Amino acid sequence: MIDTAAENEAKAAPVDHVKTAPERGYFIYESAGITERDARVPVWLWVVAVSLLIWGIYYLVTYWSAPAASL
Amino acid sequence: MPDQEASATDLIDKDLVRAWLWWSIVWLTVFPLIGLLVSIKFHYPDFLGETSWLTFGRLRPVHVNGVIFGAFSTPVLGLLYYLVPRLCGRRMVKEHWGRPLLWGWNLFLIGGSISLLLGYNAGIEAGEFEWPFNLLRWIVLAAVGYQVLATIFTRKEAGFYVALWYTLAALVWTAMNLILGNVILPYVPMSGISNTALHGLYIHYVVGLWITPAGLALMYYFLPLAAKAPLYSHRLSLLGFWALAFFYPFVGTHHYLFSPIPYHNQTISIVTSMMLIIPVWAVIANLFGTARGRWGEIVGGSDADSYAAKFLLLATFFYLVGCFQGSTEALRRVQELTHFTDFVISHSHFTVFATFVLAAVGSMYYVWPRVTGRRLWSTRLASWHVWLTIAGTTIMLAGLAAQGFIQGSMLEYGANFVDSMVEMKPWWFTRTVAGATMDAGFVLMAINLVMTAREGIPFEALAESALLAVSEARPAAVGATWYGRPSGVFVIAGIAFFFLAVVVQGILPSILPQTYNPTVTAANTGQTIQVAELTLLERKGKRVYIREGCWYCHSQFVRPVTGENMRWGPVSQAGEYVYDQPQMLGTRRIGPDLLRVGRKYGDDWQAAHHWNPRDVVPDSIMPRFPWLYKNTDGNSAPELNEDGAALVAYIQKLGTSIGDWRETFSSTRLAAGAALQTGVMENSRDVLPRGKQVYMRRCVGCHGVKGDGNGAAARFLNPKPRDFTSGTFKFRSTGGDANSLPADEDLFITITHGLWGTAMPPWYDIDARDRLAVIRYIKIFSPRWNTEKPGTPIPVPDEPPVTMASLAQGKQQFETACAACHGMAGLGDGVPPGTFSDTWGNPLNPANFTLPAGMPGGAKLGHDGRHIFKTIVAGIGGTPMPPFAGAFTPAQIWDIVHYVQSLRVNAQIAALKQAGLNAAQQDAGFCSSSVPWLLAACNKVMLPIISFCSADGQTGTTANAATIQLADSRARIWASLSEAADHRQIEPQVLQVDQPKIPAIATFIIGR
Repeated sequence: MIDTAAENEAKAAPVDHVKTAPERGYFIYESAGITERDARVPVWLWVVAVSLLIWGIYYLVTYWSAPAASL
Repeated sequence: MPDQEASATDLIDKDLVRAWLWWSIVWLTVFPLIGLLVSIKFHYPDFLGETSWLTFGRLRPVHVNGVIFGAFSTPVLGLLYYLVPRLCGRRMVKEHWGRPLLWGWNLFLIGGSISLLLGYNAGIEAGEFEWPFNLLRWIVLAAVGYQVLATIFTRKEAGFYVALWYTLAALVWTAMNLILGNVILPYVPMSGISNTALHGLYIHYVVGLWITPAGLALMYYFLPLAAKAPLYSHRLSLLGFWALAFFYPFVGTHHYLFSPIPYHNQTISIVTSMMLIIPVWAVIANLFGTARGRWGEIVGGSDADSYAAKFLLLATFFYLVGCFQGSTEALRRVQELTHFTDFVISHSHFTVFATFVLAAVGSMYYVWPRVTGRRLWSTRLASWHVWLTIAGTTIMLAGLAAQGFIQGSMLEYGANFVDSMVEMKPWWFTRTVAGATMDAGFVLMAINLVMTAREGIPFEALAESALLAVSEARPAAVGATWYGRPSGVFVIAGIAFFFLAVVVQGILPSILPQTYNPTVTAANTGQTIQVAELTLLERKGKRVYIREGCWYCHSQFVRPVTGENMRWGPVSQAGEYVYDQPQMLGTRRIGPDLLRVGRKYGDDWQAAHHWNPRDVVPDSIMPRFPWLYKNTDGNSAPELNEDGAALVAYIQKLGTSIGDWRETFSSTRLAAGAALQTGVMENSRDVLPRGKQVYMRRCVGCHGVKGDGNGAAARFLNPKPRDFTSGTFKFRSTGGDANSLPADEDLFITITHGLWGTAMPPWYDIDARDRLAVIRYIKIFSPRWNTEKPGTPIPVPDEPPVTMASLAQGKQQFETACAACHGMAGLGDGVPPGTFSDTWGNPLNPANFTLPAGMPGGAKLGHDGRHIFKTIVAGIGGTPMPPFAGAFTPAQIWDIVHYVQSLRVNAQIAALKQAGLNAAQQDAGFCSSSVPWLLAACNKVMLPIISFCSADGQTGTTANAATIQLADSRARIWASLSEAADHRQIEPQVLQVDQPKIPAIATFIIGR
């Protein structure tokens, strides 16, 4: 029941497309065998984060105390 | 590169990692399988049900704790011995501890699970183990924590990778959280709402500060390796970790929204729950970004690394869905609908199982070939594992979420609770099938990994690197700032944020007076009264309640939303939980809420119910509890043994601390019957089939299939269920002799209201048309309904004012006509017990008019003025109580009614005085230290904080002793007993009767 496809496990070539087109700097963790990009946080995520923070402040202020009618 | 990999491999004790992972395979198979057994009980409640240690209440905590600490934590701990040395560039500190720790961990899991099955349960959700097992768990985790921290702080690798941030923080957080859950919650005198607030934090720290960071550590480490790609973004790693570390510690209070926990604490938990979208989406972007450009190789790959990546990416997807579900679930409107339902179970399985258990599984697929030195035995089995997991998980979790909305909507619409459970049964069956599918995948994985170790093809070495040879690469330590260093993670994230959240969300609420003052607002008077502690018997009953796991299915928490106060009774108040440690508010309702269940049913009904719930509620999925009985061999009804009697005593105590609220509970007010349009159903063709259906689901257990009062539960009951074959009913508003037929309105009132102190419960929560249909149906049992007509309705003149004169007249009439049976003081003691019996020969006693609602021997339909008027005129069918029509004028009957009511009013006033009316010192005494500097500091620092936190917050009591008037209470009670008797119709002099001075009872209790 051994699959021949398991032969692929021995392949560990680094990713070519990253090699050839690095956009930014990289950090390496040599003993762990891990590389890490120093990429920026996507703009869309900043938008999400800022929007949530604004909403959070609004909600916190508005609902700090219980609305009288609901309790 | 090969040299580097070889040296990296030398850092690891493969035998140790392999040993941990062997046991991980065992626990990944066993504990989810127990969940499958538990799920079967939802549609086959008698499955494995005759043995106490295999009931739902015993198996459920084994499953939950087993998945968290066995199926998930065992591989995590084992994999730490793999990833930490490699990330630190050195062998693990005190590596030789690893094996003893493994055995210690297994001892904790095995011993702890057995103890739970035997009923040793601490009563704290996710903290059920008793102290020896908690201690063992803490020692193991602390030792691993020491190994990890010492290795990190002495590492040779300059960089400090994100997986280590999460690892370090998870171990520090959990070491502290286990102290919170295993020491503070059960032992420090912080009970009631304080206990609840802290428990909310604890339970979510188990998920958010152990499972999440430990799981993310695995995902961050193994995904780049399995995908053979660089991690997408260091900055996203920073954003994800620090946002999680800051927001997550605050969120736990969202488990108890709408509770008496201060409102602003609940709001903080909601906001921070939503803020968790930031770190979650940062993690998702980071991990999916890592796989960008590699999807083809991963999805199409058929080696162990590809399957590792598939599981890790599957976990990433489920993390996105599960966490978005969790964040939005914290919003008040969403939680109104979904809390206590299977939606919560969907969320917990999304996050714990589908995300982090699968992350551990993916990591094991990566590591197992490397520590066994053999290639994966079968990629075909691995493929089956993936697809069974996708199919089972998706069906189960989507189904659970959907059924949560369905049940929540049904309940919000006013459906009967048991009906909402019946609606869930097909879904639960599907859940079991889906769960079996998932478990089948685990079995295949176990076979595959075992066979890999035994039969897999040996190899020299597998690559363990995703390093890139790029010119821009530099050591990770370059440019690292405080937030990227171990000390920053340890001090700021691990300690400071944790304590900040515990203080704000756990400690500050506990210093608010309402969380420790044993006072509540009486539901029918507005009076602030003292709450009594449980008796010894009731305490024992609570221990049985915890031991049998009743609290997993029954909450004790009535929320002020979705009509719960109309379904269960008045909303929860902080004061009634003050003596509760551990608190029993609960997080799930598979059965009805029990906060207000005390005196809803008689003790006899409870005895029948625990013997076999389906005897009294055919649709019930509650297990039987035959081990709570004695004398079970004979033909007579088994009797509750010591444990059973204690449990019933505890249940009957629940919710009774807020005064005699049932007299004023609008859902059962007798006036509801007055507006009944009985003609609505007259011409309906399906009325009898519908009535039969209602009867067979609600009534047959007591009244029997033949309607003769000999249902399966009848042998437990006293008084016996009504025998419908004689056509004799107790309460009527119709003239004629005492056995004349009642009007439909009378039966409707009895069904809606229930008969207090007996096994007849109120059925206000089923459709009015169902109640009318069953009235039609029970008429088929007696031929009288075909040959006789109900008498004419008794005219009830408007109620005259309550005056001193009418009370005096009423007393005189009562002593003349009623006292012979009911006693001079209306205590039902005019004749010796056993003197009277009903038409069927069952012994009965005259009513005691002074008893509160639901007490056996009291007024079965309460003290409503019009009801008592009609009962005096018509008598009580089938009993020695004769009709007094013609014996008194209507005015005289009203006088008697007022006097009978006054007996209850006086008894309630006496009970209020006995309970203790709260005095003004409630708000004055926090800073009562005799130490001057402490007193001054308290007054200047703590009181403003308390004042600030209390401002407009949701408080459990609204006491203002200055405005409390006993006369006002008396007026309110009067008004509650008679629809017409409001303040204007009660003579002021009546309200001054026996008015005592309000006793200045020292109610301020701190540090009981």
